Amino acid sequence: MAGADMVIRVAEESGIHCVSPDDGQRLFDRLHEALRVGKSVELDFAGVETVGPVFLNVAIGKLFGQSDAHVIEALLHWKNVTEVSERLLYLVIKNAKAHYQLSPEARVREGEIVRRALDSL
Amino acid sequence: MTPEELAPLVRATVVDLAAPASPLADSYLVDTNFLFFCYYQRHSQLEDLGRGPSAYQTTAYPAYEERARVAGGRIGVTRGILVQFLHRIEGAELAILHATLDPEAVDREVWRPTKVIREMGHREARLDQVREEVLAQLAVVSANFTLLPDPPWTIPFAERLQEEWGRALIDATDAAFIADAWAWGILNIISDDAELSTVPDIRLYTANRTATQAARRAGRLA
Repeated sequence: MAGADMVIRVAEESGIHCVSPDDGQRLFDRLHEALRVGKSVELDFAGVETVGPVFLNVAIGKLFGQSDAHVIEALLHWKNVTEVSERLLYLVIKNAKAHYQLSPEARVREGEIVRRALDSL
Repeated sequence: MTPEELAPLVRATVVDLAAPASPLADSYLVDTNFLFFCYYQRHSQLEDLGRGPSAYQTTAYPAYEERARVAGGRIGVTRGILVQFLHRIEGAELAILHATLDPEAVDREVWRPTKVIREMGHREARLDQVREEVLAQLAVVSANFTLLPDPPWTIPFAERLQEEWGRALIDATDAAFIADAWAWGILNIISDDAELSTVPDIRLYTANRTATQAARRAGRLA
């Protein structure tokens, strides 16, 4: 994206293995602050070797619980993402948008379903 | 089972992976529960996971995974574990689809595609979404882990499973997993399953407090 207000090199910010929630939280804090004041942000994933759902849920998914989805999608962009990681990114965003639109009761129900699947292991 | 009850049964060497300086290894196999915590996208989306007794599942395991990867550790997944992971998240996705289509419906224990179709009518397009969810997570696991094919069995599978099953207090699925681990010669297991601490000759990397406390009592905590 040409002319983003801010470029964040994810490998420098979070390391080449982006799997932990702590790294995700640090990136979330930067993104949230930028989006809050209307800055556009480009995430550059060059050099990143591993991207996990926990990291993306915390760094990006949580944004949809804090800000309007249209604002996030207009201001947040990325590049140098592998095909698989981009597929995961879209999945995280799709599910985050749906998740934060649910009623509190429906979120609880979703959580119970997921936990039941885990308990059955 | 309490740590006190488990302690006399512990046969594995147990590593508390939540400890800041926990030991690292060159290669690991991961269990289904690890994949569920760390690679089922919807699990780590749940808002209350950062609180409560299970918070460690989505903090300690990814943090250790990152340390292991930074140190150059190779992390593998057996086909059996991967299939179990996919089956569980498919079941969860089908249940969520059903709850989405019919918020008043009673939760069921097991959902299969045919049951969703029968109860909800022809909604194949929505089933495609379920498959996309599962396949996207298969792609992520495939990209991030070494996928191990079925091992070259030197003795029949049933004998191998029986051997492992008889040595520890584990279920048949776990016994098959450990049999795979032996066949591949990778005995560093990342799992939240405390029962695996009863398996002799493996190193269990876990943040499960029952397992680590039992191992400490048994003198088997690394």
